[in-house]
Amino acid sequence: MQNLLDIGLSETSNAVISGWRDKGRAAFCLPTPKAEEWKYTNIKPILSNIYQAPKPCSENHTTCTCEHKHEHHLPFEAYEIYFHNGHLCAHQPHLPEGVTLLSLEEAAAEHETSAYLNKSFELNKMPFAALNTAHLGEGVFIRVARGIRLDKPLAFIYETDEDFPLWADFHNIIVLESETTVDWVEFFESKNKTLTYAHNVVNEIFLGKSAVLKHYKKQQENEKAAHLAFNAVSVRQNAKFESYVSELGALLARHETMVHLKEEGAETVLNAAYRTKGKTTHDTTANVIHACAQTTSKQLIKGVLEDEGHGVFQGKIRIEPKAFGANGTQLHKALMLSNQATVDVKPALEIFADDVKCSHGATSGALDENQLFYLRSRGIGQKEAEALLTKAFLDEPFATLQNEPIRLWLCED
Amino acid sequence: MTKPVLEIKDLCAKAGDKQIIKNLNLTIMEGEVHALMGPNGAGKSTLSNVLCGKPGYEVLSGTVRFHGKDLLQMSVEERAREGLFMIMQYPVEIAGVPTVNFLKHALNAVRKHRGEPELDTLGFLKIAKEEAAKLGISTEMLKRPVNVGFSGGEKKRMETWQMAVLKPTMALLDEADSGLDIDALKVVADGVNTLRDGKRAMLIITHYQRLLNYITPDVVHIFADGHIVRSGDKTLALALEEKGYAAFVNEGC
Repeated sequence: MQNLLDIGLSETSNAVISGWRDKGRAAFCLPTPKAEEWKYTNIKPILSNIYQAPKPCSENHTTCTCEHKHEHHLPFEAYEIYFHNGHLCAHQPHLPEGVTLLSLEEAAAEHETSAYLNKSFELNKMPFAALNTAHLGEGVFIRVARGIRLDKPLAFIYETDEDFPLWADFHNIIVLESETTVDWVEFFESKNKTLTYAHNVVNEIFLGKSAVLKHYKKQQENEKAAHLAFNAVSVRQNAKFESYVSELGALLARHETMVHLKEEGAETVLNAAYRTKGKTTHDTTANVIHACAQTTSKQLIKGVLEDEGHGVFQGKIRIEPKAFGANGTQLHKALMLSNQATVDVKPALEIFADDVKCSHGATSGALDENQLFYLRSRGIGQKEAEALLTKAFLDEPFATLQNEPIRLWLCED
Repeated sequence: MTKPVLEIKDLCAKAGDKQIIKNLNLTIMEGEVHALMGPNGAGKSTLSNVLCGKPGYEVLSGTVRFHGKDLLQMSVEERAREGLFMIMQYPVEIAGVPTVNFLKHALNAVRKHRGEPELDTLGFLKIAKEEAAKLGISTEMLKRPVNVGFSGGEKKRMETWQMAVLKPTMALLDEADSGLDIDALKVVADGVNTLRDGKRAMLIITHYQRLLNYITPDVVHIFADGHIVRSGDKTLALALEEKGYAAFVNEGC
């Protein structure tokens, strides 16, 4: 089996980045089902390939300068940033004044990253973030200055069409200063169904006082791909992180979020919908830390399991001693459409404060027979009725979204 | 020449393990409105469910023909596409499915079956809104998920609207009056009366006579213990209201 540390990465002349690469190598250890956080998600199926690092695009420059035509069009206006075949594309959107966009390398060279890079989590507890750090070099640094309300979403669009098994790591840092409002879209898609590749993405997000970040992610990798994503979010006073995730593709996908509600009034919403087909595994892991009083978290995760699909939900809510008045809710609902499909749900509440509200729930079941009958009694065929009900089930985590084009985009297959 | 729409012959059916329908015979011709009145436990709901093909009911013997075709061989959706529509006693709520979206699928399934072109969203909305306006249903209500958060009266109003859009050849009203106040009852009755066109057949299944104050039936049947014990004109319903079921049920056996 390949050692994922040795994918043949190109050298870096940046001391900050090479220093982190060493720390990443030291911290990385491939997770096995013996590790509690990886008990239900076996990564073996994605390890049968020999992965390679991205091809260098040009000498002394890791940023992609190719004349790649970006064919993915989002059905709404956005500031589009492309990540193609393992590189950040040189073409960059014209951002309004007050919004800084740098490549990770540039940011590291200008010492912009020192306060943020790998500051929001522990490297030795996050194996794929450690691997990402061992491969460090690609990604963006974005800072939105105080008071700015971005008129269009920032969109990160990930494309891969290499003809070899590409292992692509990206490490992005998003800093929202106080009283900013930003919509942030992530889109993963592969048009070629036969490619094997892996995306390993770490996003570190820092929200200043009263900042609002709404995150919309649609993951439509192809059915041979590995998709490993980790969002580490720190939320300061009265700031809010809302995340709406639609996981549809990949052979194995793990979408992991850690939200640190650091100061009073910090809030988060973590909603997700996933759909497993064939022998795919979709893992949604969330770790919410209520570190301060009057912090709120809400999670609604819904999964549709077909064929021999496997769903995993691990949700931890930790309420620290100072966090009186905290409110944390979590609900996972599974719709089982096949006898061979399985779902593993592991909720965990760790409560160290009094006067808090905290709840979790999990349900699983089949389609409602009475609803099916009702639809059919109006002339709708069995298959179409099932499809309507399944879609209705999956759309719920996005039902409250006010941005209609984005809501429809997330709900679309 | 008028043709029969529904012909039930010697029908026996069971719900679960119990035989409920016992040798039922009933023929409804084009343009006719029949009322089937029965006490609790007579088998009224079983009959409407058997006619619609709801799972959980088994036909033991007998035949049901709908426009001359074998209704019992048809799937639930085929019956609807052939023109059978049931106003349900308890319409189910379906969160997440917008009402307009649902009925557009339904109408297009029916139109396809009839060999008519399917409608796009705009074409559908035109029909949907026209019919809704007649029933005092706002566009906002049509956008809401199917039956979610509606009162009993609003649900029946929406059922009537669905019927008006789908234009079935036969309407089956299963205890359509249960849980309705007088205003809602009138709306449903008006909707049903509007669809009386000399061709469309109707079967009103009910416990109480009061819906028949607003929809005048051509024929009234008293239904007890799984079959019809007496048939007559609309005056039979009034006599029933006055004397109660007991007076008729024993006589017929």
